[in-house]
Amino acid sequence: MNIAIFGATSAIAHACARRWATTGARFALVVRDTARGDTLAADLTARGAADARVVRADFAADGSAVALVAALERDFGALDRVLVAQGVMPSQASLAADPDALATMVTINMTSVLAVALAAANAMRARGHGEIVVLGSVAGDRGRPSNYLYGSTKAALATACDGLAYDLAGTGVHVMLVKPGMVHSPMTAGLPDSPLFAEPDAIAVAIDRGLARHRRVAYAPAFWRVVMAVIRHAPRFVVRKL
Amino acid sequence: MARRTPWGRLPGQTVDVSTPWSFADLAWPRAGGTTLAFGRGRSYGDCALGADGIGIETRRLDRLVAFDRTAGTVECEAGLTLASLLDVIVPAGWTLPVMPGTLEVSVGGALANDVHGKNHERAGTFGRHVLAFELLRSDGSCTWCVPGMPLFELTVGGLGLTGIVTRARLALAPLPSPYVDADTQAFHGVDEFVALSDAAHATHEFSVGWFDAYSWRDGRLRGVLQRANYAAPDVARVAPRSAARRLPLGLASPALTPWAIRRFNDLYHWSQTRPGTQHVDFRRYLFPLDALADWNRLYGARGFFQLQCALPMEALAGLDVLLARIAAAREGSFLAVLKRFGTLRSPSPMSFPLPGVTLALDFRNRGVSTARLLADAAAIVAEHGGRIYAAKDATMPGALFRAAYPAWTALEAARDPRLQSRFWQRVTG
Repeated sequence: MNIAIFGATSAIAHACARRWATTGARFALVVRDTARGDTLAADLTARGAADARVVRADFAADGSAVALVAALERDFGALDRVLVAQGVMPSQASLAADPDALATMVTINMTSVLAVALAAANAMRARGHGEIVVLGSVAGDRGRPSNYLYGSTKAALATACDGLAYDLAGTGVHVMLVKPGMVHSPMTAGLPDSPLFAEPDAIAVAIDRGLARHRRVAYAPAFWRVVMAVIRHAPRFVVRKL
Repeated sequence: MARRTPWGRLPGQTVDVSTPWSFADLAWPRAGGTTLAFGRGRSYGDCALGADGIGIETRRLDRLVAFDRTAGTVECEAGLTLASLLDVIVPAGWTLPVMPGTLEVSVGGALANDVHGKNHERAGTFGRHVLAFELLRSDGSCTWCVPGMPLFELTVGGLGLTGIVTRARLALAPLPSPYVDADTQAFHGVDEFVALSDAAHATHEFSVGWFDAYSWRDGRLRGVLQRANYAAPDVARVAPRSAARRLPLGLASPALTPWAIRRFNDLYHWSQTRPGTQHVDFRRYLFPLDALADWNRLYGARGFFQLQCALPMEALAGLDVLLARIAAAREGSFLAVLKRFGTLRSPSPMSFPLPGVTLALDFRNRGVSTARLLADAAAIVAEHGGRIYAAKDATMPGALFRAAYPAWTALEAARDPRLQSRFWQRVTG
């Protein structure tokens, strides 16, 4: 199986890749930091990956997704699975203080993610099979004071994946949006600890389950589906405190 | 920051840890402060407990660097557990030459405690199979250490004090089959245990004795020697006849009363002395307690101690003195283990095993009476020229430690000034 992972050094992406490596899959790891990518590639190769190559990309720079996917299809092989995991989470306070910084986050979290997903969908549609996994977040389910700007980029992914799934219905291409809750990762290392935090591997397990069941949306871990159903319908005076 | 307690869960033993994602993120304390890296927190007492109440948990530093499937070597980050490592190497036909009683320890922890396994007579300690490691020190130096270098020898068995091991290169052993053929033999005293163990050494890779400490009376006890060999390759794919029994721990829970312990031992004695050979997955066979997560909680809120000591061959009479004292105390041991140690030398001058016999057993923390019992046990060990295992210890007197491990002065000299454990302060202070 040929798997391309965008933002492969993210903790969730790494956990997924480790699980998939044991089946002898081939990996193209698209990363910004190639030194960390090489470390990851070595880990996957030792764990049984048939191939693990590192491809450099800057997700903050516009307009490279189509060329990137085309190059992968040509040099690496027809993509069977694409995991789109790049993302940044600047603090709400820093974004509020410098609204111009929004553009970078939106480019990385939304524009580059959707561009990759669409480019992969086009390539896969022609072949009639493929899986596209997009990392969203429960933060996209409702605007909360603590992280509504980050959340809005994830909400955009949810809307787009919802539409893309209609678009791909009947083509044999499966698109799935994953909505992790709080996950231990370098990105969340500064947040206060909470029992709601999950290990990256728990998200990888949920992703595998979602793929096996052809889910369009997978909350990870699954209890977040219930939590977010409550939060989505909670009155404003409750959400104000979250 | 998260809070951790060592495996024995004794009161007052906690440490606030950072759990870095990369070695670049390691949080060294400011000048004057100390920390200590540890893996899975499976040391029982205070030997992996940072002296200043802070520590570095290495469990996320668990990447493989290289796995040579032909030569049988692996290089990995020190936070990788032996269980995860086996998940990778077993399907390729390799195993670890030395595995301790649980696989839920990190490579770094196995190295720092120079752990031993049920094949000590044949394979020696973990440190004998370490090809190299990279040692990071608080002065910023990063050194690859190989056998023969003083820093290599002091870091193996060095209790994490010489620096932080980032990556290690290990030699693997071919795995003929993921199954073992196992049998048992009853024994009724220490002498008989030694005789059976020494006979097993010629024929079996693994051997370990279990016994009921409550059954001890004037040198007589009820025990079973478990022996096993990896199965022949041609039966490797045959399904095991029966799944490995799980230890009937439910009997002992929630309270480890003497009655419950006796029932447990009765059952275990009976089940293990049934004749015939078992064909069992080697991991289920060698690591029965790994099937039961958090079994240490069975001992209740005040935690427990494990005494593991080793006595040299010429002083084995001391074991009966020790067992008499334990039997008199009526403080039950949940697991009572005897293991013969062989003569293969460790590269480490701080290594625990010595040619002789090791005894391990647990004591629920009952406060003063348990403390008195452990103090008496330490005195008996000292009197017979034995030693106590740091990885299990929470109470041994400093004088006993310094006498039994004379190389401690060299380790203290090589200690990184920013690394210190409560154990080390206690036994060297």
